Amino acid sequence: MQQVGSDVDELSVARARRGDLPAFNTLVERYQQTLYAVALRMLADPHAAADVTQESILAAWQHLADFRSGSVRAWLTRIVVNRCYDALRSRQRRPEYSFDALLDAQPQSEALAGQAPDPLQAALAGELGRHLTAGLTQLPPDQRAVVILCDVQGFSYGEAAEVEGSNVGTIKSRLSRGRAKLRDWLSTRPELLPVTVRSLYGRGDDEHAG
Amino acid sequence: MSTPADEHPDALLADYSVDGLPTAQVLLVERHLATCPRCRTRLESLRTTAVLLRSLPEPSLPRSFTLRHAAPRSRRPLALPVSLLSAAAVLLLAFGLSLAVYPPRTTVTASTASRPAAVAAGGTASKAAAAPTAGPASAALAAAQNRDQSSAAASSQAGATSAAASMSQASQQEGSGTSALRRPFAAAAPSSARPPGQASEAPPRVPGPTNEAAQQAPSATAAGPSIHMSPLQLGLGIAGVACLLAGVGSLALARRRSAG
Repeated sequence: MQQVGSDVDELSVARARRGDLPAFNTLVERYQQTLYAVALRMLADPHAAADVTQESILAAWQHLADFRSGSVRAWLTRIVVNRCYDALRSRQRRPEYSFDALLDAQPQSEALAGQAPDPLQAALAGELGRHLTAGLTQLPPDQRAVVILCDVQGFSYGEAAEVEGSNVGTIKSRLSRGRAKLRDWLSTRPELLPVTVRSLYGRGDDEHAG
Repeated sequence: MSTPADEHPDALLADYSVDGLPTAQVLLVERHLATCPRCRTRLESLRTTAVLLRSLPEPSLPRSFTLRHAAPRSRRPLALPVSLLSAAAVLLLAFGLSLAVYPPRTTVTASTASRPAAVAAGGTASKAAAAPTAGPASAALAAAQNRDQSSAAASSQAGATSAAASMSQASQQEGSGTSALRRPFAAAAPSSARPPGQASEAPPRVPGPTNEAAQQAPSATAAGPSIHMSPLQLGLGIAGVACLLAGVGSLALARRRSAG
């Protein structure tokens, strides 16, 4: 499945390199959801995420020659993640930039809450989803990126390493630390969690142990 | 069995949950997990956290990001801004160097001008005095200035040529860089060369004009803005700023075009 997809991708890349814009746009249509989702979770700002996504896609078209081989999805995602790092760095230089205002803009569709039969899905479409998304923004950018790639988007460690330009060991270590911080972040608001898993976060803390 | 809190291997647990442990430590953690319900719960919460993250609803796309028309490949959209900006960089560098070598506006005679430390001094007088050490550029400049005013265009041409020569000396750029420079400079030079030329023709217009200062240094002592630099320097500065502005403008245009 993955292999077939990547073969099709490489065919599209080859045609796009010869100036075939529709071939390139099939790649865009295949991956724009992932690219935008990654940018949105990284930046927590729909407008900035849309800008970064569009700029990255344009840059990908203009630098198709730089794509060697491997996963097209990883290559495109790498462009997006690098631009997100840039945006976060420039945001850091402007301290007036408020994260709180951005989190309100988080487009968690309330309509989904009604549709979801699963209480977990319902919670994630609502307050729990917002809390968890806010937790992502508390992570250092490198950990945030890896948690988004591996845990949210379901990239393999190898593909995440391709995106980050690092090795699998580094990916695992960042994911481990990021996931542990998010676990603790969730335990600060246990009431948001579905009752089925709330006990995992609520008790068993250090003060009860020993 | 009753493990103290500080012996709970929380960091190892997190690594364990991402398959990030070597075999020896995996065994260690699993032995601990077998006897510690607290850590079993914590491991379960780490895994649940991953499940929650994976189950976050996908954000809806604000729009399609497909490209509507084939944007020009590679560097073509940026060729103009880049060449303008690099021209500006070289021009301004040459301008700065010329300011350092020939500080604008002199106040006094050869004795002061011979001391490079007198930065407050400058302009044509110091140049004329420093001509022996200054080399061909200032010689060409002096020659151009001493020519009669009907050849204002010719003098600016000479200025452009010597400027190009000194720039290629200073920055060691490739030929393409120098040729790119020559055009904006030549375009800007006549307008910038004219006011000082007129000043030397009609001294009364400007107090303490440059050429007069060469002969009557004391009259030029009044501290003023550094307008009294040579046409060459002024041309370099103005051309540099013009290239900078044009470069920034075309860059903004190119970005907007590529975004839209």
